[in-house]
Amino acid sequence: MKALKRILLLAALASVTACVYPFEAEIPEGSSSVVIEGDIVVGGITTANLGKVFPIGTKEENMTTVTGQVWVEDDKGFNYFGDYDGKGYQIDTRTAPKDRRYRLCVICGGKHYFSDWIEPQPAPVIDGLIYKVHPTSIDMLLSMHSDCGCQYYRWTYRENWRYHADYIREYNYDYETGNLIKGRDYSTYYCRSTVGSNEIGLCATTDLVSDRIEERKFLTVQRTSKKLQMEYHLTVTARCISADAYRYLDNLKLTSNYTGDLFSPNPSQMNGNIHCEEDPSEIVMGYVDAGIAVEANLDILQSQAKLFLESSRQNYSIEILSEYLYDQYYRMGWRPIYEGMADGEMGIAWGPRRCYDCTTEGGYLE
Amino acid sequence: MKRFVLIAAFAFCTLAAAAQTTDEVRAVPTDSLVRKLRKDYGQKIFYPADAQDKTVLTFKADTKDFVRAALAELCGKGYTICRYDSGIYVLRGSGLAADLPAGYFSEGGSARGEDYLKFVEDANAVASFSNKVYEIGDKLNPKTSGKCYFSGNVRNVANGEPLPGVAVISGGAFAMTDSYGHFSIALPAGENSVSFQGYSLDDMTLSLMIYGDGSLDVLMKETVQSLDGAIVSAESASNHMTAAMGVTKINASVARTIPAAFGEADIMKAVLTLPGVKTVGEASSGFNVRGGSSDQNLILFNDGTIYNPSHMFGIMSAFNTDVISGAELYKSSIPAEFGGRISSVLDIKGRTGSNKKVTGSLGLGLLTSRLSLEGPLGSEKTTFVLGARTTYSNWMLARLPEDSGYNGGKASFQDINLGISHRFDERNSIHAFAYWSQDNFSFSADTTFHYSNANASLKWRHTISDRSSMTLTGGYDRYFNKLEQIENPYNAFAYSTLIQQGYLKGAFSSTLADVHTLKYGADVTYYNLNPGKKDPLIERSLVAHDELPAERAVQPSLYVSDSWIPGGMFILDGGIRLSSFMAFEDTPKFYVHPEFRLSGKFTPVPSLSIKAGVNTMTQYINLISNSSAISPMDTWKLCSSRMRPQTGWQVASGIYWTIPGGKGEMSMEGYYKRSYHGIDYKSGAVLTMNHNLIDELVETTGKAYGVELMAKKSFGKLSGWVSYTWSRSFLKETRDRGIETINGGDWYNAPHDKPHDFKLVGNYKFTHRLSLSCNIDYSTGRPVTIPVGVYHYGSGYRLAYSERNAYRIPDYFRMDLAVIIEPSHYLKKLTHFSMTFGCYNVTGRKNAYSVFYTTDGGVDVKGHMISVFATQIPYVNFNLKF
Repeated sequence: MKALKRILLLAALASVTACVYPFEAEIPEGSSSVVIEGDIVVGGITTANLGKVFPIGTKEENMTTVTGQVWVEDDKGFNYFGDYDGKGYQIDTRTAPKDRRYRLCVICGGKHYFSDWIEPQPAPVIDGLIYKVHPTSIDMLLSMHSDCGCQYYRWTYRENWRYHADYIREYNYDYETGNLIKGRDYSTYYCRSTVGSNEIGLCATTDLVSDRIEERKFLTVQRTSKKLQMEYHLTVTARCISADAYRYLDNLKLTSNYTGDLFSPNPSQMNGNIHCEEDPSEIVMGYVDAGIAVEANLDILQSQAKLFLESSRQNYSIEILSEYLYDQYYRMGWRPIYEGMADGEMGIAWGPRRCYDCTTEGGYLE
Repeated sequence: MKRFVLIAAFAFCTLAAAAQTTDEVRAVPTDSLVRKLRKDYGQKIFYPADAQDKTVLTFKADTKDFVRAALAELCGKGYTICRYDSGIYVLRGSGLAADLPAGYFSEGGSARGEDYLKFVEDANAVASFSNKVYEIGDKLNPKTSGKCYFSGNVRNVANGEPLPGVAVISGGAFAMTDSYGHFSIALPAGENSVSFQGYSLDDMTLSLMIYGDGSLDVLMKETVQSLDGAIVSAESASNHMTAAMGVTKINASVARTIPAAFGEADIMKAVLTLPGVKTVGEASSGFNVRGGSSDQNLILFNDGTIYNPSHMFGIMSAFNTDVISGAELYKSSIPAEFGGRISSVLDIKGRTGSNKKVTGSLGLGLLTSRLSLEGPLGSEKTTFVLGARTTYSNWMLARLPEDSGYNGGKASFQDINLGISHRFDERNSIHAFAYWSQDNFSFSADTTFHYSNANASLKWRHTISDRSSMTLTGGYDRYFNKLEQIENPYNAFAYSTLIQQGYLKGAFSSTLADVHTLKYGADVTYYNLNPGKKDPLIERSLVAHDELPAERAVQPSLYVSDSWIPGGMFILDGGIRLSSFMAFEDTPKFYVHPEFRLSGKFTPVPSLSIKAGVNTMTQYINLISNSSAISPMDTWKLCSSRMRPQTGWQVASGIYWTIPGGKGEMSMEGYYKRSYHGIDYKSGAVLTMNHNLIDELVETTGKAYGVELMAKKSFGKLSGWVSYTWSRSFLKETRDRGIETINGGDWYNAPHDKPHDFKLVGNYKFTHRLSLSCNIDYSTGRPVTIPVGVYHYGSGYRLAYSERNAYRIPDYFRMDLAVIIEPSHYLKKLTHFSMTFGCYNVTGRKNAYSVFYTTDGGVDVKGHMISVFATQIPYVNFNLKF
C-alpha cells in the first residue's frame, strides 16, 4: 500500500511539476549594441549612463564602462551638459522648465545618438509608504496617485540601515608587545549599509477605477535581516512615465525575469526611443523618458517597532586561545573579544573578523 | 424498400497446383485442410472457421482425387458440402440458404429482426449467414446492363452500432462507410463479390447476385484479437481506391494501445504520432499540421467546434475514448464540406451506443477514472451513450509534502458526454449529442484558472434513395475561460472570455451516372465572441469593470464536390467551396472567398498509386496567443475590416505502395504550402483586455514544405508504423515597419518548425492476452528567441534578445512502453477485464519544453530549462467492461 501511495504521489508530482533545470546554451557572440540610460529629471539632477551589451556569461569586472559626451537638449535649443563622475553622467536639469520638450543626446564611439523628443510627465503624489508586519517578514507598501491623469508609474527605492557586529571588542591586542589591553572598541561595531533596487518598479492604473495605487507591495524584508537590527531607512523615488516608456520597461522586466512558464509570452527584443543618427537601423538599448520625481521616506527604529528577530549567529567559532597562539590568530584576523566562557573554557575569548567587524557584512563604518 | 439483414463470413480463394501423385494429411483440423485445398488444389472453398470445432482428419488419396476424397471425409465428419456458382461451401448443420428467414421483412419485422439478431449472435449462426448468396434488386425485372446501386448500413453484430470507416470493395469499385455506417456503391448487374474491411473487424466477403438497385445491411464481427489487425482503419484500401491524400483515420481502439502519460487513452496523443503532426511541447493543447499554427486546425467533435481540446493544461485531451468511435485527420485533401481553417481538420465522431443491451465500462487510472454506459432506451431503435471522467489530482496534491511547492495547489477536470440516437425507420434517424467539460487549476493561492467547453448538436439523417442521402445538423458551441487573481486585494480581478457559436449544416450526397459521387450542401455559423471582460473580484478591489466590445459575425458557405472515376486507373476529385463572412461592425464588413479542392489518383498497378492534389482554404477566426502552447487564457478574434481573413493553398503529391500480400504499406507524401494574412505579434504586445488589439498584431506570410515517409505493418504479431518527416515552416512579416519589422523583414522560423521528426508506434502481441506497445518520438528542437547578451540598465542586469526564433531548444526524444493484459476473451462472460502497465518516458530524458534566462531580480544571469516530464512516469490502468 505504501508503494502504491508512493507511485500515486510520484505521478501526481510529475503531473504538476514543470521541473526547471539549469541550462547553458552555446551562444555565439552577437553585436555589442550601445546601451543608453538616462531619464530626464525636470527640476532635479538627471543621471545618465552609457554602456554596451556583453555576451552572456561575461563577468561583472569585465563589463567595461563606455564614455562619451552626454547632454540634455530642450526644444528651444537650450543644452544642459553633463559631467562624468566616474559612475555616470550628472546633468543639472534643476532649472529646466516643465513646459518644454526634451531629448537626451549622446556622442559615443564617434556616433551621435538622440532620443525622441519627450514631454515631461507630471509629478505623482505619494500617499503612503508603510509596512505590513508578518510573522517572519515585513512588506513595504506604496500608495500614490496622480492629480494630472497620469496612469503609469515607475519607482526606485534605496534602503539604508544601521546595524552592528555580533560582538563589541572589549579587549585589544598589541601585536608589537603581545599585550592584551582592556577597553571597549566600537570602531568596527556599528555600520551602515545601502542598497538600491535592482528590479524595475512599475505599475499602471489603466484598469483601475481611479489613477490611484493602493498599498502596492514592492519589497519584502525578512525580520531576521540585519536591516531591521537598529535603524532602517527607506527612500522611494517615484515618477510618472509615459505609456510608451511603461510598455518598454514592462517588456524589459518581463523578458528579464518572467519568461519560460508553460504559458509565458514568447520573449522578444523591443526597441526603445533612442536612434543612431549615422545608422538608423542600429539597435540601441534603452528608453529615455522625462518627468518630475518625488520622494517618500520610511524610518523603522528597532527600539520602537521591535521588528527585528534575533537569529542564530553566523557560523563561526569563538575560542579561548592559549597565549602562544595569539600572534598566529591575530595575523589571521582574529581579535580578543571578551573575557569569559567559550567552548566550555574560561579565559579571553577570541573571534574571527566576522564576529566583531560589521563591514564584513557589506556595510561601511559610520 | 426492402431491407435485408445478414451475416457473412470470410472467403478467400487462391490458385495452386499439386505436383505429387499421392497426398496425405494426418490429424489436421478442418481449417487446415481447407487451407490446403485452397492453396494446393486451387479450390474456391468457403469455410467459416470455428474455434470450437475440434474435428481432426486423417486420410490419404491420389492427388487427382484428393479434393473429392477430402470432401467425402468432411461429409463423414458431419459437414454439409454445398456448391453454389463456382464455390464449395463446407458448413456445419443444414447448409447453404439462399434466402433470409421467412417473413423477415413482413410487418412486425422489428420483432422478427430481434429474433434474428439473437440468432446471429450464436457462433454457428454467424457462420451460416456468411455462406449466403444475397440477391439485390428485383429478381423479376433484372437489369441486364449498366450499373446498379448497392447501398446499406454496416453495423457491429455485437451491439448494432454503425461502423464508420469500413472499406467496401468490389473489383475496381470502392466506397467507405460514413460516420453512420452508410455506404453506396455502383456495381455491375449479375454476380459480384464484395469485401468489407475495417479496423478490428473480421474481414467479410459477400456473394451478391445483383438484379437492380437495392440495399442491404451488413453486420460485421469484431475480431477477438483486438490488438491485431490494421492500425489505421481501411487505409490500405483507401490509398488505392480514392484520390484523397493526407487523410488518416485513427480508431479509438488504436488510441488505447498507444502509451500515454498516466495511461489515459488519448485520441489526440494518437494523432500526434502521425507524420506531419507536431506539437510544441508535452504539456501543450494544440498541434501543428504541416507547418501550420495550432489555431489553423479545425477540431470537430460530433460537428461541434472544440476550441480548447485539452485537460490539465495539455497533459490529457478533452476526449473520452470510451465514447468516441474514432477520428479522421485531413492534412491535405480537405473535403469541400469542411472549411474555416487553413491547415487541417480533425473530425472526431462519437459512438451511438449498443441497441441490444445496456453495457458499460469502468476505468481506473492514477489520476483519472471514467465510467461509460450505453444501451437501448425502450426499444432497439433508440440508443444512448453516456460517458464521464473526473480526476482525483486535487486529493493527491493535498497529500504532497509541504516543501514540494505544490501542496495546496489544485488541478482538476471533469467531462461528460451524452449521445442519444433514434432510428425512426430505414430512412430516417436523428442523433443528439451533448458534451461538457471543465478544468480548474491553481498552483498558487492567489491565482485560479478555469475553462470549460460545452457543445450540443442535433442531426437528422435521411436516406433519400439508394443513390442519395441528406444530413441536416444544428448545434451550439461554447467556450469559456476565467482567470481570478487576488495577489493584492486592491488589484484583485476576474478576467474572462467567452465564445458562443450556433450553426446549421445541410449535406447531401448523390451518386450520378455510375461514375460520379456528388456531395453538396450549405452551412452557416453565427459567432458571438466576448473577447474579454474584467471585473473587480472583491469589494476592496479598485479594478474597474471593463469589457471589450462583443464581436459578432455570420459565416455562410456553399459547397459542391464530385468524385469522378473515368476509368479503373484514374480517379479525379474536385470541389469548390464558396465561403463568406459578414462581420457585424458599425459598418458591416463582408468577405467572400472561393476555395478549390482538386486531387487525382493514378494506379498503374493494383498495389501502387500515385496522387496529387491542390487545395485552397480560408480562415475567419484567429487565436490571439503569444505563448508557445495554447493557454487557457488565450482569446479568439474574428476577422473584421481591420483584420483580413487568413488564406492559404497547398499542393501535395504522394506515392503509395502496398506490399504484396497486404502485410504492409509504404507511402511518401510531399507538400508545399503558402499562407497569407497570418498574424504574429509586435515585441511586447499586450494581448489581453486591449481595446486596440489590432495595433499589437502584424500580418505575416507563411511558407511550409516537407516530405513525409511512412511504413506501416498492419497484420501479424508485430504491427505498427514508423515515419520520418522532413519539413520546414517559415514566416515573414508582410509590412515594412523599418527597424521594428520582425527580423528585418526576412523569413524566420515559425515557432513550430521542427525539420526532423521520427516516430515509431509498435505493438507486439505475444499471445491474445498479452501484448507490448512501444512509442518512440524524436524531433528537432523547436525555435526560440533567447538572450544573446546582457547589459546593465535600471540598476540591474537586463537581457538582450536574439532575432525572433533564431535558436532552438535541445532535440526531443521520448520512448514509452506499455504492457496490455487482457485475461479474458470469452465472449459470453458478463465482464471483461483488462490492465495496462506502462511507463511514459522510459529513458527519463529531461526533454526541454522551453529554455529561458532570468536575471534573478537584476543581479545574476542564469539559464534555465523547463522539462514537463523530466522523469519516468509509471502508470497502471484498470479497465472493466460489463
